[in-house]
Amino acid sequence: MSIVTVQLGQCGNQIGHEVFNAICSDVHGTHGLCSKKENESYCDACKERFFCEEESEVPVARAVLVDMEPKVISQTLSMAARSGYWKYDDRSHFCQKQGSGNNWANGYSVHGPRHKEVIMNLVQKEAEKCDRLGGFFTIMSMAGGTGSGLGAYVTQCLRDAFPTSFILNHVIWPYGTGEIIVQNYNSVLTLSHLYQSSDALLVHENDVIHKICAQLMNIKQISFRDVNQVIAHQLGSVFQPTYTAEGGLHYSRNPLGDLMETLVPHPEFKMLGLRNIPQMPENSLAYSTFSWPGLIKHLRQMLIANAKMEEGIDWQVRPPRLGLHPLSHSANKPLQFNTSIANLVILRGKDMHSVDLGSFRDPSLYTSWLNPQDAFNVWKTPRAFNKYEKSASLVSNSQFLLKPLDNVVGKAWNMFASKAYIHQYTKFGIEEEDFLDSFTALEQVISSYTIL
Amino acid sequence: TTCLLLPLENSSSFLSRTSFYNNCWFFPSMYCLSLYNQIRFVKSALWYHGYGRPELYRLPSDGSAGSRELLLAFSWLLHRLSLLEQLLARNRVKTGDETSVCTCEDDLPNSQTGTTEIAPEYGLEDRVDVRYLQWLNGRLRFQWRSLHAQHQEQCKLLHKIHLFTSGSHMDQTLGHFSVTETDLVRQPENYKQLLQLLELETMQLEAFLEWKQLEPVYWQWMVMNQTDFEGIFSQKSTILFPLPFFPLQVKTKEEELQKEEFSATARKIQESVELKLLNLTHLCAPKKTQLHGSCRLVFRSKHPASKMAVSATEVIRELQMREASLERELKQLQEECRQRLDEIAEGLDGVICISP
Amino acid sequence: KGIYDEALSSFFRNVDTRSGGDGPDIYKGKICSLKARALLIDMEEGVVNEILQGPLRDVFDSKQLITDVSGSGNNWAVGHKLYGSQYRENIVEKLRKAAEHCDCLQCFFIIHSMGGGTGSGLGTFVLNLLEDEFPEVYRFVTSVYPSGEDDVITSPYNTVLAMKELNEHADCVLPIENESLFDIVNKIHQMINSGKLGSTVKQNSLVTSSAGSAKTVQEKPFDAMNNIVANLLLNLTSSARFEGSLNMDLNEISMNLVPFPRLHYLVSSLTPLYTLADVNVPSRRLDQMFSDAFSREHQLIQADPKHSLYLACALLVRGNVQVSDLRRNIERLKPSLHFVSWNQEGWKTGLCSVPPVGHSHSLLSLANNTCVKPTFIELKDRFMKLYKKKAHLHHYLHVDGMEQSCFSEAISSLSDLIEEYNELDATKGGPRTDPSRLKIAV
Repeated sequence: MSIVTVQLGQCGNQIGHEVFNAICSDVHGTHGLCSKKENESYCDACKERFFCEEESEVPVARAVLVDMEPKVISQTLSMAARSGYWKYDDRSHFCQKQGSGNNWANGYSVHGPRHKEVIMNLVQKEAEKCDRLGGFFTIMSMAGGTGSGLGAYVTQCLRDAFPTSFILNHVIWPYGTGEIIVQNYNSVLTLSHLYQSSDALLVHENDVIHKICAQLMNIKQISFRDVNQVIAHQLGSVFQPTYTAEGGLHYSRNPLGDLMETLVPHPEFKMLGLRNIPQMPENSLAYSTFSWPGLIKHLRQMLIANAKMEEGIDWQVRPPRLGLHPLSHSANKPLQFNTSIANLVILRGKDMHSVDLGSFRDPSLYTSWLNPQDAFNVWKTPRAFNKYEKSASLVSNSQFLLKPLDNVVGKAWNMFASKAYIHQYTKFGIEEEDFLDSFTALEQVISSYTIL
Repeated sequence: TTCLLLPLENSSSFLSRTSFYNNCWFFPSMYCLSLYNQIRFVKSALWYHGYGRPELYRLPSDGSAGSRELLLAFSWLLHRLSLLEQLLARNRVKTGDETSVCTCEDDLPNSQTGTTEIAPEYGLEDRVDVRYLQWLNGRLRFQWRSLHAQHQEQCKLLHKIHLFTSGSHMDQTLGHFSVTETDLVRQPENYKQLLQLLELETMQLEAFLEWKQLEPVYWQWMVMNQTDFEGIFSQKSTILFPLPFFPLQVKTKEEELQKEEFSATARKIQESVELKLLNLTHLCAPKKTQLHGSCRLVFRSKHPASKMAVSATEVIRELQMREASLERELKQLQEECRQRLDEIAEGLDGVICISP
Repeated sequence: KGIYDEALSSFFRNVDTRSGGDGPDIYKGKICSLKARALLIDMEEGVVNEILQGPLRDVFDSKQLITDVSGSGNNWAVGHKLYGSQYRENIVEKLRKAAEHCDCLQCFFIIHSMGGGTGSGLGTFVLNLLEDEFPEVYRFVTSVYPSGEDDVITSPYNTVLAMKELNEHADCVLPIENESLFDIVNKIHQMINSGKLGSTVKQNSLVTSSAGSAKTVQEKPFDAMNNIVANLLLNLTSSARFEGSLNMDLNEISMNLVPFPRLHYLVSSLTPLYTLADVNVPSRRLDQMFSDAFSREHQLIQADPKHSLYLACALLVRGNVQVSDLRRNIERLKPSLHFVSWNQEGWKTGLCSVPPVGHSHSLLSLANNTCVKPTFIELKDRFMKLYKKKAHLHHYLHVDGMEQSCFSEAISSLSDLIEEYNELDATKGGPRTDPSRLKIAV
């Protein structure tokens, strides 16, 4: 089963490159810490997922690179080729001379339709190379013009061309301040459009990753590369091969399908957050030991207290007591408590079979209308990931993103009320009504997540 | 040109390349299910096929009681579905690549009309949150998509095998090997396994013959010992089936339908008939004989000469037309729902209703 | 010789002069002969001739020049109406030629002064031409505003008449005042003389002429001042020319900094100052560079953004600066700045990894800030002083196509602009009430 990655815009291309790098270095690392046979089937599964090896010495990433300006793509292609471990297909990219200028409407209404045919041809070719197309993984930022506007358009085209395929959009949430001024408008337009055509939105917040770089990775002068590497590590920890509960003795051949079935069957709840533990500078790894109960305890508290990382967790937050007001589940819950719809925990490393995950099966963690059997799943593999002897990841469909979403919509609405910047969008055919539709759609999402 | 068929409708049709090795009876995944889920599955499968006896559905979900009910249900299945024949057909050892084709009209036991009031009672003890139903529905959709991807992969691999082995088969009408044949060519020692399977099948057929001779005894025994046996068929149920052994008492029940209810239903039926007629005119082409059953998959680069063969492209075209007409029907129903929602929303002040 | 690459191709094309210079552009590889992608227009010959004899003579040829002999007599109407109609065909043809040589034309830079006749009159005429002929290409205008004690008596007329055109037809205007440039040049001069910088004077930089820059400051103040404007444009385009971890195209500038179509006047500042003097100095504290960018003394017009209202602000950084440096400084400076209520986080940033030649880092800050208002008010006052007395009006009115209504329309355009800034200023400091959100009925 294979996944076709679509890298869109500067952010998407830079992160995509780091993801393939992380996957490759994990496979090539000597740190599998498992049997040779185990390691082999792990590597085979990984290669089938992300690379094709026909007629080439090094694996070729199953990816399509799209940007509206040439600099990032040419840099990405050559960096991959220089690594010597993998490369991109020389013909699987598309770029133009001039960017979308941070204007969502430009990407969505101008660049999208203009270049649809070329881009979709590239995607089609890549899809046909797969014996089994497991779905699409698109990487994009939601703040800019190309990633967000063109990304939303391309996602729609993917949905039309591959109605039965799984589409997971990886979305980079911009820094709260300082990147792009119209980012809240672009975000509102992106999210509302993706909500219609995508199956799930896996979100990384730049602010959060930045903090991880500073506090956990101990990086002094943080570059975008550092941020992207942390994101890539987290993504790798989810999408590298695992065994699922039903899958038996084989590595899952349907990671996107399994993920979606577990977490996002309900069409109104598509926002996924990702947490990962432990995370630390490479040179400290050798001096650290971890116990599964410790990791699981932290991960669970990160979930219920909505902590972004293992440092600074609020240990006071407790799940609400059930049974007091069975009908108004949301009314009596403690304020900071993060209610889940569904969670998926992924364990990698030795002794993972002995791990007790009962604490994640506590019904009080979940919304009243789902029971833990439906809402909680585990994937496992004894194979260690990326030099971490033991590591655990959590993909959560919960109220994780409620506050950031509310913030973005609120700020965009403030701007919209004074009609600032609207003329920049109408210039490319996105009218006030389109904004209103997007606002309504997202207020609906906010409301749904609020009254779990 | 390829003539691979995608049996998408029938999710339980188990045609995979693993079935040759993994030849287990009935529903393989049953073994993985918990007791609770097994019971749930049996109940819903019976419900799907139209078994209407409420006593079965009231059975506890822990499996502590119910052998008599199960026996009744089993007998019903034996007769109603020709269960044994079906299982034999399903588990036939296949040396050629097969696919099931079905272009029949939807023959679900008219489930829309009148069955709701006697829906199984489990699950209704407390109200179900509609979000949970949406969740389950979403899961089904995703599972269907995974299945679809799996089928596509299978088709792709079959195509590769057919392409690479073309010209190798002694039978000129076929031209290429099937998966089983290819496997035997590659690993000749597997013929033993195949032989075993064939022997097993012969045994099953012999057993079936034996059963057929003894079957009347079984039914007689059932009539004598199970007082409810006739009752199963006399309930108010819309599923009608002719049983040669027993007289039917359904007709009188139908007459009991109240007149008002009848006229409302009649109106509804008339509307849906009109819609169907409309769809028929769209299809316009004269109805061909409907296909149903398994077909052997043969790859041809040119159009088949034989008149017996079914062309995949034709089947696909037919299915696509059916799909389009169903799509239209769905659209129309959605439109109706939307209108009703709008009507409801009109009565509310200061609210803008955005239709889904 | 150097290599002709993407970065160089933004402003120059590479031609083989032996084949007549009109052949197709030669891509990448060695430089044969560079030609600027530029059109030089003046209605006298002096300045252009000087350029043609100067060190840059090789990058222009006669096909890029449009000159006359008689000048515009400091009269906007002569430049705009008379020469405009007279040279229209010629200008369009030469613009098209230059455009044909570009494989992706993004932006026109118009560099002109506002006080005289040719720059303001013919300059804004060209602006309108560009809008007609190339509606999709952005128009950035660098306008040098006259100072209070300008020796051209009619400069308030010319400026206000030109302002109307800028209001309506430019995508972005970067206003610059000679006074500010002069102050900055003096300041650099002082720094060098006081030895604060421990200066090594760098010779033969890309930007200045062959004379050492320290000398330039003393003897040719205009060259040093022009150098600042040149740096402004270089830094403005650096992120589009060179690679970086957060690229910033020119179209992103107007997208992010112009919330309402007419409010497109951007106040700029360049720091550290020594990057403007082409002096090699040890890298000073990085954070100082950010602080300076917001101080009154570093702005290229006489304005104080810190005490006015920000609509939006862009920081274009070059060199070895990471995203964490940017974030730290934004967080640090934010409390001391006032942003309009609906754009509290109105920051746009670009990171270009290639620093200016000879330096480790630099910063160009562009602010859409109501601090431009005083300049406009002062301009309006000076205009009204003349206009009330109808002074010099007849010089304008006898030009074909020029009518009295041009004046009234121009001054009302300026008044409207000032009023728009006033309305925004009025929201400053007041109680902040967010508009109520859409509610979902459950």
